[in-house]
Amino acid sequence: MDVNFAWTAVAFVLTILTLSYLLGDNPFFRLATYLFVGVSAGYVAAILIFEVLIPRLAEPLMFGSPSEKFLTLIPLILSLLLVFKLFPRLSVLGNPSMAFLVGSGAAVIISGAVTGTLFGQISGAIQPFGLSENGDFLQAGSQLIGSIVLLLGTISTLVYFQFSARRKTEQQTSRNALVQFTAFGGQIFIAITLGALYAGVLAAALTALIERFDFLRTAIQTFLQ
Amino acid sequence: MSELICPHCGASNPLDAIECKKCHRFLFESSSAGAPFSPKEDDWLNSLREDTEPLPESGEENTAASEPPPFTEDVPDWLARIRQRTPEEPGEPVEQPSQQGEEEELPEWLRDVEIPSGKTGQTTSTADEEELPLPDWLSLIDEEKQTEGEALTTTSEPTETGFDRQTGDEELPAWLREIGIPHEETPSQPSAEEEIPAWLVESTTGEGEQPGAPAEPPLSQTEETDWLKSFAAFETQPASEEEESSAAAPEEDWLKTFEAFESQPEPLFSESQPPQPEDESDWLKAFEDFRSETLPEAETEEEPEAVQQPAGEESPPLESLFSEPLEEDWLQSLQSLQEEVSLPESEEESQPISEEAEPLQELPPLTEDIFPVTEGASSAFIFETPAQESVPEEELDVSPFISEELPEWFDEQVFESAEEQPSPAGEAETGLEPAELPGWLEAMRPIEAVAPGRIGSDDDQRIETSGPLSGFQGVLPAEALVTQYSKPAIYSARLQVSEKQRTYANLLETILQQEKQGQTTSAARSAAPQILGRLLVGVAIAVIVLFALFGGIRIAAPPTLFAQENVNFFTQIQSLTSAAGQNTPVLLAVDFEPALAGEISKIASPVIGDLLQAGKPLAVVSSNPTGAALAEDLLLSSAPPEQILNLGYLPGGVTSMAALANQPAVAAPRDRSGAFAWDRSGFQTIQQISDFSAVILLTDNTDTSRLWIEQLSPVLENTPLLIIASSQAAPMIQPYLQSGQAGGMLAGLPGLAAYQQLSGKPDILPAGYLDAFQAGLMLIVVLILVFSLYYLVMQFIRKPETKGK
Amino acid sequence: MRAPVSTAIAIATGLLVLLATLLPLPVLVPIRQILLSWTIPVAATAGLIAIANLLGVHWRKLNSARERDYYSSILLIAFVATFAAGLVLGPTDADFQKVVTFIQYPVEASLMAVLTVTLTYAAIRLFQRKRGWLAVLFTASTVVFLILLSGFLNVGENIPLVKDILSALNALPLAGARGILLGIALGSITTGLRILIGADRPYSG
Repeated sequence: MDVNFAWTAVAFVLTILTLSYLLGDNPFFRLATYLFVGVSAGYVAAILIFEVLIPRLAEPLMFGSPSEKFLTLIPLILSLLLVFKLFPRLSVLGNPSMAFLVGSGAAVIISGAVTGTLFGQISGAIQPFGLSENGDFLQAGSQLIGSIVLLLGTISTLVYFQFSARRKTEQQTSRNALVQFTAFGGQIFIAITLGALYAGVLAAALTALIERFDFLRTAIQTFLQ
Repeated sequence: MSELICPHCGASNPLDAIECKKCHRFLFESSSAGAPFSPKEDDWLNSLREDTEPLPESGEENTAASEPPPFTEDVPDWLARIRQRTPEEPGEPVEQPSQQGEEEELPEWLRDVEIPSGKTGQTTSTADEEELPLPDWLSLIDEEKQTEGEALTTTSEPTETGFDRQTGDEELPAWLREIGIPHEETPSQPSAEEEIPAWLVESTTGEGEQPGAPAEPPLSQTEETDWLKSFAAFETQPASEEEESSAAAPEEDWLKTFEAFESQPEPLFSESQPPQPEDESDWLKAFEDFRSETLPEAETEEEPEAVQQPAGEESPPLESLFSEPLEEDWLQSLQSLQEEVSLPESEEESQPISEEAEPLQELPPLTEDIFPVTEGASSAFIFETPAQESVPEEELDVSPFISEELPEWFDEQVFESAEEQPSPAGEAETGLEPAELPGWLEAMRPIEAVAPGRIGSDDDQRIETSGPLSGFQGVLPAEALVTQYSKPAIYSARLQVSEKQRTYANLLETILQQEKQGQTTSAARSAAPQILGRLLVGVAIAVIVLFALFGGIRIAAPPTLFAQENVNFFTQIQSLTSAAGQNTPVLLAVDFEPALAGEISKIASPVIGDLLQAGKPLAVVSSNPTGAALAEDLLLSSAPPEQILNLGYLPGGVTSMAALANQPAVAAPRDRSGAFAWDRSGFQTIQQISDFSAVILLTDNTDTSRLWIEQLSPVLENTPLLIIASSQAAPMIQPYLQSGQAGGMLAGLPGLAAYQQLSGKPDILPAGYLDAFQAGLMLIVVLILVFSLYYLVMQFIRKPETKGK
Repeated sequence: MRAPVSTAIAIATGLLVLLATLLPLPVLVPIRQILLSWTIPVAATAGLIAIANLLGVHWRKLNSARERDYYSSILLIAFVATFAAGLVLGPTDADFQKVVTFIQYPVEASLMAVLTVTLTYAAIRLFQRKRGWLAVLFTASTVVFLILLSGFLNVGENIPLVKDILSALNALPLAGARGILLGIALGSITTGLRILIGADRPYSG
């Protein structure tokens, strides 16, 4: 039996088992999912060891220069400390490693959010107002209107996420009327965006369904040959 | 008997006479004293009620002392009061009670007992105290009193107005009836203290305080002890001083008293010790001396009332047994009798009691009663204290002093160990030798002194430290029960709730309500319709998709207008592939899962094919573990190995992205096989991320795609960032495209169709994919529209109905 | 202060990385790069620990007397087999990579395919559970973009009015998406700053 044929048969069976979820949760579906999780964990573990730990920790320590060994020593210590997270009583020892990851990650996220999204999206919101010189008046007008709508939509969406409000008497909080109105507009834009996202997820899922049907047809043709 | 003999002058009077026609003194006083058993006095409980009669001779102080109504209070309170007094009482010198007796003639527990009788209206308790609820076990007593109120009333009334012997005989048990008969003929002694026996009068008023009674009691008042006063509370029949002159009549009284103890245990542990007069009777002194000799001082302080109270309860019978001349001598004789006499109970019951006051020598039958009585008294005292004890009427049938009811160990050791626990009251007393201690007093000593083991359950190890049961262990289960079942305390303090707390409380309540409603609706739902509906939808979509995919029907028209990002993407790829001379590597950032690998690979395949065809080296890096394998297998399987640099998986998420964006050679120095990556030809020029000719991000995730763009776009400079995205990630990438941070994008099958159209290669898109895609999406649109309209219409239809209702 | 060492490490690391990003001084940039490169093996170790924890959970479920889960044995066996194959063959082996392409990929793609039906059914029943203008707007938006994605209107794209309408419709989600992205960015900055000043210490658990 051809190896590829066997693999195809495995993939075929697993596809059928997983699609059986349309009939509700059943043992076949569970079998496929548990198998999938186990295989994924094994694969990831192997990848992490062979593609990360060995080349980045083991080899520099064994074959690297003194500077490399020194530079590798710190992540090695941090990694070893992280192992203590497996043991509840000693998990505190893993906190420095987690702090290292969290601290560096927070800094990277801050810098990325500022330079990648804040600056970029603010600039993107302003950019449409730079009307093209070559366009006619009607085109420029429609572009301007579109830009204003987008800007208002962006602002209103941001305002919608502004949940702070002024406290009035009797513990009732209320937002400013302008803020409320703007937030209402933000809800509209958010609903539209979420509708687009939902449609995108449906389209992606449908593409996967089509691809699976195509695979099943191919597999059946393979089996029949 | 057809006539009544006046006890004062000896004149004969008719039976219905109230007062002597000769001396005009009341007849019933003597008769009441002489015949303590009223028609309903067979109910020993009545005696308890009678005991609570006020003591007229006690004067105002006595009345005041009787104010606290323990039965109308919560039992825990008076129990607590006992405990509160406990620290004080042990420290009180025993020699000082004379002063106390002046201040409060009645001990507090006696005052408590007085109240519930409610007959004389002399209860001076406050309204608050009266309103306090009775505990269950006390209310039982109260109910008994109510149900037998008539009997109680007649119990006292005959003693005041005359003795209805016939009625009393009907309800009396035989043995009591026998006891009661002689009392009728006992010469009465008129006294102002009509309802109180002389000894009790003395005990309650204290020495020197008592106004002279019409008939001097045989037993000196000055020799009375306060513990004897306490016994007044349990005296069944308030008797006049005449009872001292009759041996039989007091015997009946103390019998009733024991009965009261037997079935009415509450008073036993309800009160504290009575004050001790300075000049106690000699016999008591002897008793106390005996105790002082045998009991260590510390122990005496701990249990000062242990013996006093029982002694006080037991002493009236003894006093009533013997006339005045006996006084201390009777104790000695009693002590001797203790060793000699032991009669079965049947004899006791059948033993007729002499009608006349008899000397001690004539008391063999009586002494036969004594020892069972003492034993029985002790046993009843000790063991029958639980509140759930049987009803008094039932106990009248069987003598409460039947020794058969005693535990064997008690019968055996009641006298043996009695000497080991002397009374603390006798600590300061001297005079009598221990040998003179009567047996009945020994029997009344604290139970731990005579019992080898513990009394009561193991759970109840509390030792009473005050009151008549002082020193007893585990004999007050009622206290725990009363404490347990007492009404909860009412706190008048109002809960201070701030506005903020109230708001939170309301919010929590709202959440809980919503949660409850949600559970109701979810519980009402069944999974079966959902599965069926899902199955039907699945079948419909599957049929349509399969039909469009394999039916060979072309329903989808290729796009003629293209989104700007598609055009930009194609333009960038075209510029890359057109620059044939510049083989600057292109970085493929793989950020998709196998779930959408089908979609991504379909879109990316033609693009990568174009790049490879143009000779562009491709460096592949993945931000998820399976990315590298997917890229190799799905995208690069046909590529020449030297053109591909697979850097593998970079763990760490955004930090590894940042590291790669900052310095790719440092972030990913080796390829998947472990070889140094950047030494290979074609990739040696890469020092930083902007050295790539383009970065193509393959993504299906809105979050990770945002992170990639955030990290890459600021450092890419002129290097275009192109995105091949799944349909689900496209909407969130659009702003980056519009802002220019991303150079172009192909998203989903529409993007692939656009690329196909733009590149002019008609075979890029697999056959039937676009048709199935369009058919499936339109079916979904139809389903959503139809069912949404259906539910909306149903909503409008149901609304008027709801309003109508 | 709770976990002072960890807090100090987090703050120091974060500030160094952030400073090197905002002020790319020659001294700071290498430090930033080294720090970021250190995160990669540490993160890999964290991934291994997560896998070990997963295996531990399923091992306990398998040995649990009350809720014994026999499917966990499948998971464990699959893990052991795959991991052993990875150790023997190596991750770059073509046969080993078939684990991904013939096991993971079919299952995940099939799950995604099932999601089509589930999402459709959820959209159908949306009005059964939720009513209101937001639900209407959401459903309308979903329907419109499904139609746009399907290419159903490709035929009329040449019509000027349709072209403008389609262009305007395609641009509509942009405003909301940008607002959401900005909100996410602001939230990320806030959270990151709280970590860097030690106000939040999610690592001290």
